[in-house]
Amino acid sequence: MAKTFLHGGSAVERILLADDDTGLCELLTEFLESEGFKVEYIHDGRKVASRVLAERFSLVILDVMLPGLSGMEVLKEIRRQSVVPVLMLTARGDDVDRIVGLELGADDYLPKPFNPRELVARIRAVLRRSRIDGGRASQTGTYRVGDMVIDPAARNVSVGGNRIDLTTVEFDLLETLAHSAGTAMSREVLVRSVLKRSFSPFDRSLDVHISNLRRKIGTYSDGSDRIKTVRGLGYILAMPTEMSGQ
Amino acid sequence: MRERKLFQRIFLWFLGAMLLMALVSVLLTIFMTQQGIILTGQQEALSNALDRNGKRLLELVETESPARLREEIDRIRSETGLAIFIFEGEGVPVTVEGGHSRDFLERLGRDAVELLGQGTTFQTRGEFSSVFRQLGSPSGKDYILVGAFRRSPYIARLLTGNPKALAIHLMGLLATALVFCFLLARYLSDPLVRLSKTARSVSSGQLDTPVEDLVKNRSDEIGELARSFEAMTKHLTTLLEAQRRLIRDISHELRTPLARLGVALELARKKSGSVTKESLERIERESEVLNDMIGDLLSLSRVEAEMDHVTFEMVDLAAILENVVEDANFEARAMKRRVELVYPDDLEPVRLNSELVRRAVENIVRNGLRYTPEGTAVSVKAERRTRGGRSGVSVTVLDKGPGVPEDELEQIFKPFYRTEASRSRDTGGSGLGLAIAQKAALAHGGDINAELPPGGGLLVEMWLPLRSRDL
Repeated sequence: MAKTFLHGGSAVERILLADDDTGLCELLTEFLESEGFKVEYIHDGRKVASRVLAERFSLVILDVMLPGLSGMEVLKEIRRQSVVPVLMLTARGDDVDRIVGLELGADDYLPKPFNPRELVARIRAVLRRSRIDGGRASQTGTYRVGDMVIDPAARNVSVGGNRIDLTTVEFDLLETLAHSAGTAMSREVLVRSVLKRSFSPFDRSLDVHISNLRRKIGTYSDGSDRIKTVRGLGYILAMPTEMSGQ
Repeated sequence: MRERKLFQRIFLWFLGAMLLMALVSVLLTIFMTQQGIILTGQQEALSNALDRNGKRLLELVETESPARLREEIDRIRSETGLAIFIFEGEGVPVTVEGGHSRDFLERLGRDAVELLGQGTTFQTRGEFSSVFRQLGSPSGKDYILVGAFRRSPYIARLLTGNPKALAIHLMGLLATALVFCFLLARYLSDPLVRLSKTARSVSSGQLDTPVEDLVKNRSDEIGELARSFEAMTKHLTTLLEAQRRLIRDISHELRTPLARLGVALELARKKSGSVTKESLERIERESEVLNDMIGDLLSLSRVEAEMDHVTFEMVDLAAILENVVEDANFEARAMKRRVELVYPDDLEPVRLNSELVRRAVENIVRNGLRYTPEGTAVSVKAERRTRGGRSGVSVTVLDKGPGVPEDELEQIFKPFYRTEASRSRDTGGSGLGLAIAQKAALAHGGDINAELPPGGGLLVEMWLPLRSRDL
């Protein structure tokens, strides 16, 4: 069973857990190690970023409410220099936090208290994603949808010649939508293919990513959304009207 | 209109009282005049007038001709209404003309002598008041003077006299009374109307509604009432705020041990064999219920805290419903139930807060799923509905469950309210879902209610105005 976490013969995945609750950190460490991860924990928000940048972690679990420096601030600091996958632990019911977290470049979030099995599933999904991202840098061919150019090789997006900063998840999401531009993709499929985990009802992280993405890439010149919601189906990267008219 | 009632009452009562007083005063004056009760003042006035004029007249008696005397007496009479008669000491009339018969004058002279002999100086008889005086002339001779005055006071003269004067008089009186009563009524009722407007706003949940300065700064009892009222709402606000914060803080704090419990439980499950499996699963279920409850409590206090500053935007309600129903169906399939959605194709965008509405619909649908029997569906329906002249959209959620007793239909929106049936059954849920939905609906200026449809089950209807009130 442990084979699934060993990747290409590399060492055990190292996870940094940043949470101020000592009891929870100890229990989680024991639990995650029993699942085959190597866990280190840290309580002070101010020390998280330097630690992440100095050492190589496969994933960071970051509590939003950290003493010293808040989880959001820590995330901002990490993102300035590193693309290490970050999973945020948010306060349940605090929608604002999770939206801000995802916008700042968190790869996923989990409301606390969480089911530990769910946490493991999320960790694995995020790790799977980051492995695939790392492994496909050689991919060529760009997507053009209207005035938007998506370059999977360089992992950058530009709209009307202006480069847009996207988080990893947002880029993957846009790329997946662009791959079948003009065709609606169900939320379930998107969750599976982009977030690499099974779809669970009332989980709105996909929708939050979509709305952040929408805001960043803007609308077409006629004011219509580039990414449209298809009622009862999911999302679609719409072709510009003048193109679809031809 | 309710708030005008006090004004009307004060106005009419005072106006009535003033008119009644005026009427009573007139009637009493007439009555007392007729009875000769209010003459004291007149007696003095008459005596003074007689004294004042008498001395001069006696001078004329001795120095001037009777015609000159007559002239003077007539002048006094026309100016003051006082008729003066002069007699010699024994009652022999000095003045003979003036439209009075000799008989009358001699009788009057005799009476005067007699009355003065008895010490009486004033008498009213018939329509006349008379004053008697014994005065010495400059030459030392004694005379008797009688002053007679026709007893018809001003008011009585008005009532019987000139109708035009009476009308002007009454109009003036009425106009004064009207203006005064209007001002008084407004002075008293206006601050109360304002205060009651504030009170209504407070009771509708706007606890921070200030009492208007105009009312608060009054130095009278109403001002005092306004200040007490404001102090009271401030106190209430503090208490409510403290209560909300307490709930929020407690919920936050409870999550720490709960998070540890979840992990510890999972560890225990890994380490133990199959013997404890069932018990551990039960513990996990219960801790999940606890977790849901805390999550919903936080949601509820969050919605409550956000009530006053929710942001609205034009949103495609149908998309939200599709989204919620899709998710709910995902969950329902595992429970062998379904969720169906119907809405008109041309459902227009509604001005709302999508997060709140999503949460509301989600909670109502999940509540329905909890009670609808296996194999049945929960139907969600959106349609346009005008209520009280305001156009809006209603979202109804119908389940095929047992419904609730009719008298509990309103109670189910209270936090932690459970019907008898759901208490005995293990239906799960935090007991806060519908309370959250209600708060969300209220935040939009809409409402929510439950009814028992003829076909059975429970129908929950949430109504949202097309355009939420602008805050």
